[in-house]
Amino acid sequence: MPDHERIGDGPVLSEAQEQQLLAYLDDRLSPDERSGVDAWLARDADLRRLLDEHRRTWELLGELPVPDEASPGAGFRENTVQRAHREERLRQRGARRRAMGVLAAAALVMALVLVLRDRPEPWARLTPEERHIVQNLELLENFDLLQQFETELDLAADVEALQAFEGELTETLR
Amino acid sequence: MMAVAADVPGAFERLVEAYEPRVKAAVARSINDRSSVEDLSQEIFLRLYRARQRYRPTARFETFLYRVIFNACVNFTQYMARRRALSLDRALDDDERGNALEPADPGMARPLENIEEQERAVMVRAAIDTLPEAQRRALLLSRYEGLGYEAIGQIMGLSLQAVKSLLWRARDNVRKALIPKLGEGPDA
Repeated sequence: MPDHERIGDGPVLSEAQEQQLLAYLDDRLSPDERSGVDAWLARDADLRRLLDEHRRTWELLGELPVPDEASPGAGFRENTVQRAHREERLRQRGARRRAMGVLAAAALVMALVLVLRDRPEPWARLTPEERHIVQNLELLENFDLLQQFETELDLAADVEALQAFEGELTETLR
Repeated sequence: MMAVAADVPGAFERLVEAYEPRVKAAVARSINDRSSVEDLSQEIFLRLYRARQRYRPTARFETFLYRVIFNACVNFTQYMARRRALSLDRALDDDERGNALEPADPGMARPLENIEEQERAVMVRAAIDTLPEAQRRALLLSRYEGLGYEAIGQIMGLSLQAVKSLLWRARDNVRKALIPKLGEGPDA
């Protein structure tokens, strides 16, 4: 009895059987496993034919000539090495520039910190008059508005006085 | 590679000298564009050089090298496919305007001394080229670079089981493509 079904152009094998045959063809089986496959082959003509065809195919693949392009080309090595070294120089130059940029930025930040640290507080540099102005800055900024408000308050007082006078006058006339 | 990583003078030059034929052969087999083999091979060496500081000898150098080759070839193939799609659109536009399509790149079909040998090489090449991309790359790594299942798994980012399955399917598909064309061979 064959260890597989027969369909179409050859035996249909399970994945495990395929992998076992692959390892058999590539001589990657242990002696015991190899003997097992040999026994299987001895009783199955389809399998023998399949493996023969695989061997022939493998040999044919080996006959494919080495491509012409594989031969060492004139100047290939020199060009490749020169390109690699040129790239490396550019890379190093770029890395140096980046490092210089970072250093310059760090130096600038440090300088700013030092300058600002030694400067006195702005408040301490003001005269008493200037401090007075700063303290009343909001008042000065809204001077016009406040003045208008004050005028309106004065008018209201006048209206109240007039109303009081009108009341007194009405009483007197009665 | 450790000497290259340590910037030992002349180490990179020796590495290029030692691996140039192997890298170029792998690239030539992997991409179907002869005119780009030299440039792509150079790019692979440059990638190795750029990655030298990050290189850790946890795996064999060959595995590391073929991983770089594999990635470069995959990127190149995808880039070329996009370009071909664009140029095909343009060519179709030209064709609609009455211009003829340009002839295809002759690719790998170069004249061999022996006609039979040439026919067989073209047939084998065609059988490999019709494989799905992952099967084709796994087969190339196995047959032409002589790499084991584990190394192929590391290069392609696949499990051992997946590699074995991929390799069997690749070999079986090539068999199905080639055997009928060969007819009765000497040992058939």
